[in-house]
Amino acid sequence: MRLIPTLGILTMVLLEAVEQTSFAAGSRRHERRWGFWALGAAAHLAAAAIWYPLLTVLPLGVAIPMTGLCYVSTALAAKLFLDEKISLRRWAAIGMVCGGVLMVYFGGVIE
Amino acid sequence: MRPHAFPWLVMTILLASVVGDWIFDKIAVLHTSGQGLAFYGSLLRTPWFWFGVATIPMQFWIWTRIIRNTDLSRVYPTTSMTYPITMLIGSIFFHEDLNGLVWIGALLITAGVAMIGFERGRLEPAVLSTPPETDELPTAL
Repeated sequence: MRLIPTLGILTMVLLEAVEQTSFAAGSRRHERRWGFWALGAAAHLAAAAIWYPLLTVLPLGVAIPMTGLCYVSTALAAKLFLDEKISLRRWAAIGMVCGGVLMVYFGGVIE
Repeated sequence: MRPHAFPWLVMTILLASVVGDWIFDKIAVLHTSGQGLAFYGSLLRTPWFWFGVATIPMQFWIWTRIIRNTDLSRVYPTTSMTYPITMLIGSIFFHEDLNGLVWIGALLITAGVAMIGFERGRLEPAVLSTPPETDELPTAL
């Protein structure tokens, strides 16, 4: 297992979920919005700081599809922290994305 | 339902700016050197990085125009086409070696991402208010 790209992808995907959930929480509240927006911005910057080095060790055609995992992490974070519902159809879509990510991971990240 | 025709031109421009953003990122990274802070320093000094950043306002502007005039559920799945398009560009112009497993997995991801916004048969704008996009990060947006 290639540790650095793997950790990089996982961290970036988690940060994306933090960013999206924070921005959503910030837009839906009436108080302490700025805190959420600041958290989202910080998560964004941290994710960006990982993205560029990641591109030095992974091909674009591998790194980009892997970021599809962000949709999964964001959906799960929204369910956990924003009480959003996930329909059966969306779970199926999440399953597809995860399956695809595993394929791209074993086919493209692990040489 | 808004009975507008599918906004082909605007969607093409959107897809081009998203994919272009990623291409700029890759080129920018090819112009970097050094480790740690020196890496980021060289990154900020290459214009390709800033070209990538410049695509973000354009993406945002086009996207808001699109969803104002068209059903989100018709438009959003198209944005996941950025994945295969980018892979083609990667393999052709950056000479990346993408094997069959990567391609099949990526097509699965593309289909899954296109579906993921659907809830009760229609897209919920709240889930898709902004795709996981950053000025440098990739997204199916």
